[in-house]
Amino acid sequence: MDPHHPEITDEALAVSAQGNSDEAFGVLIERYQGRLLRYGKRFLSDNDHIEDVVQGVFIQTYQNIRSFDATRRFSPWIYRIAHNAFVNELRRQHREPVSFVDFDVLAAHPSHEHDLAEETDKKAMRALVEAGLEMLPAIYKEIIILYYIEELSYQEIADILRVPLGTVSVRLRRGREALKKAMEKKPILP
Amino acid sequence: MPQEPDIKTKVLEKIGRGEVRRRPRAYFIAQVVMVIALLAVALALSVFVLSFVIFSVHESGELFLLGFGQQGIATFFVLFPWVALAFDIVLFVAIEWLIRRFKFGYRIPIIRALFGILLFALVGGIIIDLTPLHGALLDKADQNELPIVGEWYEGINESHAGQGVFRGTVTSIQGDDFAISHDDGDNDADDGTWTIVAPLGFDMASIAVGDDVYVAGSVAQGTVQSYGVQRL
Repeated sequence: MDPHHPEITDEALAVSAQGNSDEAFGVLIERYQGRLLRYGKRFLSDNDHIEDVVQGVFIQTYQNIRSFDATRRFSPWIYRIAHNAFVNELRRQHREPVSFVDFDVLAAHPSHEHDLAEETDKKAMRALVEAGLEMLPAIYKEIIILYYIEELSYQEIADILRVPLGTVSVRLRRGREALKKAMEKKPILP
Repeated sequence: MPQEPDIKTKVLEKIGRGEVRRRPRAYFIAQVVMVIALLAVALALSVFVLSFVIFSVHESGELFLLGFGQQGIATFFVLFPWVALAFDIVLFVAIEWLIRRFKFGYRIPIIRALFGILLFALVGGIIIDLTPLHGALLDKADQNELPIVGEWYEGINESHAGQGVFRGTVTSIQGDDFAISHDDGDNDADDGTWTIVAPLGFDMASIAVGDDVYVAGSVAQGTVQSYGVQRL
């Protein structure tokens, strides 16, 4: 198997890396380093340590690769490791309080993943996200990045953040509303 | 255009130098087994503690306080085994935290998960309360043969004179008064003899010498002005 072949799935590469193929793990790094750097830059808004944090994410991924269940998708699994690393980095920097109590996961919320209006709105929202992401608090910023920029599904986001599906739905809605409000207040520059 | 940082080379170099290694599959299996074992212990303990709370409330006679009016209800809450219940609540939170490590766990909203754990512990607690387990442990505690939780059990059959609650055996009856004595052989504060002034309207024919009774009232100089009496 040539690990560099573009048709080889991430999961197949992970299985090879679980064996002894460091080359397959190298291809996984190639595939994910850009995405994770982009995710980290949006999430942490501080370019100084992002490379180090992402490098740490790959090291943890390598150490834990044998715990990956190859019957599931690799992408949410590595994003989960990255999420933990970025949250820890935020806490370390004390730049933004990361709440230990998440009220959105206390009660059940209905999930509306296939909301048609939301889907048609996605392109417009993506432009809005690019312009106003910095104004959002971390709790909404991350979920907005995962959905609109990383284009992950509700289920994948729920698995990354380890929250119920309904929480993803309600948090995304609140994030969108917060973003729209923030953009309304933002002065229009010439 | 700035070149993308070469994370791949750095990571692969560390791997090549042996600074970073894959953890063996057994490590992760051991981790899961440990979490499952902790979960099982915490669940069993929470069921046991809740069953103790249920057993303690009915065995001590504190349930009768609920039928003794407002004063009785207030005393019920004072005497309730809050420490055991608080310990159980800590266990519930620990169980919730442990099940959140599994996919089925974090998919359930916290309130629903906690409610499920409480229901499980409650049903389990009621079932255990129906078995002779706590009765046998109480006997062991009475004989000072129960370590760790022995004090919890010893507290069940104690009088709580400070809170105005007495347990004892009727030794004599005179008109609307009767005498009780309590002696569990340990010569501590709950042993003694009291004269009980029965509450208004109490049917004195419902008790006889030799009966064990549960009395709530205020004590002064060995005489209890009772607001509730119940034969055990």
